[in-house]
Amino acid sequence: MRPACSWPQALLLLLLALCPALTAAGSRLELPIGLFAGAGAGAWLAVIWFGAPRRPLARRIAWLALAGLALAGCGLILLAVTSALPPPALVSADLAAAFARLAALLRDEPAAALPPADRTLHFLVNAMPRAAAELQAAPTAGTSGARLIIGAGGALLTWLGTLALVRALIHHRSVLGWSTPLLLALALTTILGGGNGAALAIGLGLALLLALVGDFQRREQGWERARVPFSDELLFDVVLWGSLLIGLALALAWLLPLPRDTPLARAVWSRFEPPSGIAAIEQQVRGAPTPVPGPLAVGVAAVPDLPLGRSLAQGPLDQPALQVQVIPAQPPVAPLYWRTRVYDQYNGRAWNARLRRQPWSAPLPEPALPGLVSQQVTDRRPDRRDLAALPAVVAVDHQVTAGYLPTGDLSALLRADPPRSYTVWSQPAPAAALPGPDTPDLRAYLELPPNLAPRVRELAAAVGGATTPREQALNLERYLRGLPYAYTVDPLPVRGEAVEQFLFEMRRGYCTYYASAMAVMARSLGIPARLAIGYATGVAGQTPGSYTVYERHAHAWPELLIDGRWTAFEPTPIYAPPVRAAAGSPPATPLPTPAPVTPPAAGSRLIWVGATAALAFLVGLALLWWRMRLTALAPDRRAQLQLEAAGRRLGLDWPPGATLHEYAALLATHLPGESAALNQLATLLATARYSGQPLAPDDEQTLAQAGARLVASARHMPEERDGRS
Amino acid sequence: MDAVERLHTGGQRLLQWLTADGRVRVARPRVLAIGPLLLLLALLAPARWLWFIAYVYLLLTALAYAWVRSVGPRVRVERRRTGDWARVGDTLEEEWFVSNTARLPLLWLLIDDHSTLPGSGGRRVAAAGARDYQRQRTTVVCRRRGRYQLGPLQLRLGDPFGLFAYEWPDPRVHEIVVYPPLLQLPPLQLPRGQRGGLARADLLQQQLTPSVGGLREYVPGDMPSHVHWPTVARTGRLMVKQFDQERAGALWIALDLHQAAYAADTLEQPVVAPAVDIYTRPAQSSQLDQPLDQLAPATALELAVALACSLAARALAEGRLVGLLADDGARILVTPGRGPRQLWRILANLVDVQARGNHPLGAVLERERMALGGDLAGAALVVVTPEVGGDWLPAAASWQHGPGGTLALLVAADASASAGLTRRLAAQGIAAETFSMGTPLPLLDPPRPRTQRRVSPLGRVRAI
Repeated sequence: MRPACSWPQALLLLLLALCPALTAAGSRLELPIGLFAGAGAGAWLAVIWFGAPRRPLARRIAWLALAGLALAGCGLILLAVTSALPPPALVSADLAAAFARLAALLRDEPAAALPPADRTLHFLVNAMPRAAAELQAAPTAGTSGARLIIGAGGALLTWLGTLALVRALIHHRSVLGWSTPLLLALALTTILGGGNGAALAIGLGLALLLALVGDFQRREQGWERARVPFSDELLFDVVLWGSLLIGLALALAWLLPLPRDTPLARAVWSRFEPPSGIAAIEQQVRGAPTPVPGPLAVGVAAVPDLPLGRSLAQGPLDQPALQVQVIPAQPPVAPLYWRTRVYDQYNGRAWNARLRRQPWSAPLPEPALPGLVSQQVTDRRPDRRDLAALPAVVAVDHQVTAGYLPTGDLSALLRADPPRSYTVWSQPAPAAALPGPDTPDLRAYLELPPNLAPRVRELAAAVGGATTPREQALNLERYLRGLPYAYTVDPLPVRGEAVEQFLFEMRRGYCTYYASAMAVMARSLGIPARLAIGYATGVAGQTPGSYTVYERHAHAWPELLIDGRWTAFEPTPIYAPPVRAAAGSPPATPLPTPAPVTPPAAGSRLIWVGATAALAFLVGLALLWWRMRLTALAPDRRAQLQLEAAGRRLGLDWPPGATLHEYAALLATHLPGESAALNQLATLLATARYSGQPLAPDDEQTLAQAGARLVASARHMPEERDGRS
Repeated sequence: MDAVERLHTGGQRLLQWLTADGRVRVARPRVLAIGPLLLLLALLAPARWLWFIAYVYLLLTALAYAWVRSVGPRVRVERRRTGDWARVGDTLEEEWFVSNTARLPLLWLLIDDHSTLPGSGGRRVAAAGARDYQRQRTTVVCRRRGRYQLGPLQLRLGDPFGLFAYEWPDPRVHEIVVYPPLLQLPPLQLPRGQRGGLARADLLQQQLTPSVGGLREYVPGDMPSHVHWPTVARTGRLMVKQFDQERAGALWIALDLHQAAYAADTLEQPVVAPAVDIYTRPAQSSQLDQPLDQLAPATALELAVALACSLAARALAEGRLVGLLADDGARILVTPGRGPRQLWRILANLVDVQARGNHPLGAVLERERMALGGDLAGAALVVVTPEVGGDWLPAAASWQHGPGGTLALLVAADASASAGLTRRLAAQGIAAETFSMGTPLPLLDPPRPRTQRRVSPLGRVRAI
């Protein structure tokens, strides 16, 4: 694919468009580098896609398309900088749902059971007012406001500046003048964002070099159009000497004084009291003081933190962890989660729990207790400080220490000298109803990290819908199960909130991410939630009720307080969802052995149909673009291409050294009816090429007609041959 | 008052120096405003990197100006041509000499040539290194007769960024004349006319002609200049040249320039700077810039002019007295004469004639017959005309003093168009020949293809 301008110009422009991103990377304000890079590179792509059509209609369409693209890009940038962009998974799920609904409509099938297709819209309806309010409040929002102002302004200027430069290059305008917006973006990001200026100097040099090359090539194109003879070597000399001038100007500018204060600035700004956002920007410009590290946080959690991104397995994945014998063999819950610990606090990067320890004092249960499940566990883990058991532990046959959460819920059963074998009795269902969420103790299950991005809440609201907590939880689970599973993912960035990163940036991960995301999203909807870790069911043995659990079954899942009881959910797509029966009733199916399953592919066939349609659309666009490029050529160049195309179609290559008339005569032997058109075409072509005078408008029209007629005749030739044969 | 005046004068002088008497101008005023605007911004918000950008723009502007101001006045352009005249079909060569005495290179120089010679004007780009020169040779095939001028020139150069331009005119103009082409005509029997007597002066004139019929032994009385010395040297005998003694009258060429006779010519025929070539070439069009060896005049007027000139050249080569008469709105009369000078006289009269005459050929012939009177005694007439209606026939017949005294060269789209007139002419004893437009005719003296030579380091000259 050829860019609309020359390749050196396109490459220089790409480097220049990426300079603001380079500056953002060195900014002390933690500017969104990806947004800057996306704005620059996205606008650069316009070089590839937008040609320089000459016909008025095509030019008008291209102009409208470019204006629409610029506006759409501005909107996207503003949404992205305020974290108001819907996640791609939500958009694709909605698209799939829309396709499914369309298919159901075409088949006259009921579509009520299909997932809704308007969750993206709901997300945007919630996110956009918030984004507008954030932008409006940015000047008074301190450092975050400064980040927003510089991020939005810099990215918008990068996008619009690159587009303007693209258009200037395509339409042979002055590059030196039209590179100013992009340079302003660079300067804004560097000066206000507190960058070190190296990228600015590089970008300035690139912009001037691009102006040098672009403007001289524009001059050369003007000479070509006017058929002025000139040497191709001029460009080399111009670039060489122009580069020397640029280097000299940069070096001299570096040596000149760069005052930090001027009387004019004092007179203008002395009585101006900037809002906090502007003050934060000014502080960046003036040079922010080195932050002094604060005192270390006092207090250590009773149990180790669980940061997102850490594996739960304690050894090789095929290493046995537990051997469990369950009595009765078919317990009333499924699947069986061997829980080791429960976390209630999430700080944006990791889960933790502050436990109140006290000896376990529950007596051994009566055998007649309904729903009681006995688990004889042989623990083979290297670290056995906590016991693994089904939730709602009633009794243990060893002396252990219970770790209670501040709410009074049991988090873990701990022991300093853990036994290799123990028996635990649980009463997983039904559990006793707990107090409602209004109880102050339960508010810990609703706490959210202070740096949680608003778009996580907005996504939860859009996905959950305005229904009952149970339905909201199921909607969240369904949405998360649509995200692709990956056991190996890139590490989380140093800064930022982990769930937001998972939902909007990574969009793939493993159980810890899924469980955390569901717990946080549920909390944002007002549903108390916590994170449980332990092991999944494992592999069922030959003896009924016996399970072998390996390290690969190490698992995390969310538990949500639904209808007064803690309910486990399974948002990780490779595990089967829990069998949800009515409370108190036995499971409808025998206990299954959970095994990795393929993530659901809702509407996958329709997605393929959509992808094929999109591909066809792109191919059509490419053909249209090629056609527009052909029509945009000068008449003699187009006629030359048509002559060559007709020859190729007839299988007649241009013989080396043959003149236009000779080649036309050769074609005339295969197109006897077109000899006059061929002769006319060759004559006019030769006149256009060699006479040194431009063709008259009538001759151009004649040339175009002859070329079109020739191509049409050559196109019909093979059919006639086939007909004869 | 004096101080104000001095200040004003000083300011004007400074402006004149800065603009080099108006030759330096700002090519992009808007771009030039960026630097000052950035400087103002830096003064308002004195950030370090804002100063830096403003400085870079201002310095670049200053360097670009210095470049143009330094190079512009030190560039000279000279053009030299091979001659002041040419004939249609000749290749005119010009050598361009662009010198740059500045310490900076001349990156590009746009030469806008306003020459009126077809194919010669237009624009070209030259360049030269620092304290260096560039030599370019351009060739143009003269395709149209007329008087043209080479020059004036408009010259323009700029800095690498195109911020400033240095532009100045070179008003020098050279005139060049492109004479009509001389074509090799098919074998024609030229009308001879009748001579009343043979005077001593005629003999002397005949002796000056190159029509040597043979050699004979010297007899007393022969002019010493008639001795053929090469034969004397070869044979050792005194031999003299024997000239053709046939008596022939003066040959008048009557060229029809009546406007109505050329109404079929669709191409406009301006004297200078034609938009379309009126001479077509039957060879490959990709070789248009090669020297021509044959021509096919595409319009009746050009064919008629070329025929008249070619006929005159042929008759003069045969030692005939040749005269020309025509009327293109003004009377054109070249009295009969011999030799190369007579040919140049005829060619000069036909350099820029156009079909603007108000009188038909018959009227012109009648008028000239009355005007010349006794000078036409025994004269032969050749009529060159595209008028195939034959209205001029009675007037031409009145010139005829006997059979074979008149020849008609008819210019027509094809031979069938003039067939009727040809029969009528034959009935009156007038020979006729029809020439079709677009029919290629070889040049009488085609230009030799130019051979470039290169001298090897050992001094050997090789053609390339």
